[in-house]
Amino acid sequence: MSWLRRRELPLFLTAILGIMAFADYFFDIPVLHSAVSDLQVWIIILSAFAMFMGVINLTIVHGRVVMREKDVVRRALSAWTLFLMYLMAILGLLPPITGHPSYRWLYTTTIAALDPTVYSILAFFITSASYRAFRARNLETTIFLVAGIIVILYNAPIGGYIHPGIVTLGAWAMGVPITAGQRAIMVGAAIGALALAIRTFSGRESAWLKAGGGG
Amino acid sequence: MVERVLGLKLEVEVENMVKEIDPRYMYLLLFIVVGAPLLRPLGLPLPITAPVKALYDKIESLPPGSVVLFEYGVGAASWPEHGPSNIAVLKHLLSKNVKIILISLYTAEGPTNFATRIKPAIAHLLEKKTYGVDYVDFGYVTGYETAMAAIAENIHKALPRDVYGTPIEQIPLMKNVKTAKDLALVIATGYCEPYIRQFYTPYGVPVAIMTWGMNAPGYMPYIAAGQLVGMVAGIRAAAEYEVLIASPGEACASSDALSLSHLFVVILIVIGNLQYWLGGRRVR
Repeated sequence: MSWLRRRELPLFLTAILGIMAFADYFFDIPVLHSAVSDLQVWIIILSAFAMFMGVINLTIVHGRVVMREKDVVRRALSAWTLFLMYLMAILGLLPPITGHPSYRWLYTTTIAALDPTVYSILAFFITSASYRAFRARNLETTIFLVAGIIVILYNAPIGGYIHPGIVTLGAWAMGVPITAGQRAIMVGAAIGALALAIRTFSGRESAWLKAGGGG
Repeated sequence: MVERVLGLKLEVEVENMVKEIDPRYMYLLLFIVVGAPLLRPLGLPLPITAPVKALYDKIESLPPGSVVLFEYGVGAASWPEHGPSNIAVLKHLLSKNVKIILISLYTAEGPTNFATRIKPAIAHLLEKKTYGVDYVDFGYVTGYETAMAAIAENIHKALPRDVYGTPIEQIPLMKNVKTAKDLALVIATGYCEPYIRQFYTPYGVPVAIMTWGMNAPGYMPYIAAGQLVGMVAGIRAAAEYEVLIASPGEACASSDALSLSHLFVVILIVIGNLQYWLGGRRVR
């Protein structure tokens, strides 16, 4: 069974399946359509299974901390994390399928409240960073600064209230120079993605085979 | 002597002026600037931008009986940006004679947010519709772009049951909906590229997106190329949509706070630059 551990097998499968999916996107071949359609459904199932693997992984990681860690605080935090994870998972499985009232209550009073709170703290950092970082040091940064201010005011309803020209100028900035710049970035990224796909299909790119995504 | 003293005094004043603002004052001011208009709205005018109007017009132009795939993948963290736009666009769709396929592809939190926050906001419109005939919900489907590709290719194969476990063959709405070609419009939450790749490019299905405000500049090429028929980016665009459908909600209430916070950031940038130039262009 040593051949199962060889890296050539996943590389070969990746190349074959990748080329099949690639070809299916560009060519109208009924047999290929049918095979790729099956593969896509398999991937949906595998993705769902990957979420289950995530639960097992978290259980192993936090379970190890609970069993072996000497620091009481770390042990308590890991135990609490595991307790909440399984509580949410069990409540989530209870009928009705759209959400048991206890699950919904827990979600609304914890995740729905905490997530946006953490996210909104960004506003304070962005405000402070914009004050410190946006400096007109030279011509390039001055252009960047002016464009940034126009787009900020264009995105805020007050922009048009301050001066109607801001809306016109903002719309022009969004529609012409920003679009042109973004197109260049997109085309560059697409060519890069194509090169990466060719490298992956040909087995030259194998970093994804290593655990932890290193390499 | 007097000149020297005055010169020294002037220098000290400039030095004081260019001292950095304590971040704590900035945070406090931002808190006031965001909080005050929420308590007492200013009612600032809200010009409607082209991408928002384009989506509104697209939905208005849908022939009766058209089938729309609506992806409601709203997470708790992005609720302030995505929630109001999802509610506003769904209200518009439900006011028209169109069929809606609901699904969450972006996040597993979608169905919970739909059940706890979106559904109560549109309950009065859902009551007038029949489940399975006018709308159907497939809940969360894993796989993201691969799932999109599978749905576009063969909906019945990719989504064998709805969220309640009803086989797709028993759902009247899905009887004549087999592939992406049977969809009149796809409206999604989050990122637009996968939808363009899987629905617009191979099948020509128009795609619209409800996304974060920061994504708007990046998505302008898709709007310009016609690959996106409309875009509701962030809370400001959601407020515009609420104005268009004459149903002010969460986004309209936040729009003044958004205006003042943006203005506050611009003022800070200007102050920061004045300090930079007056302080002898020292890097801070």
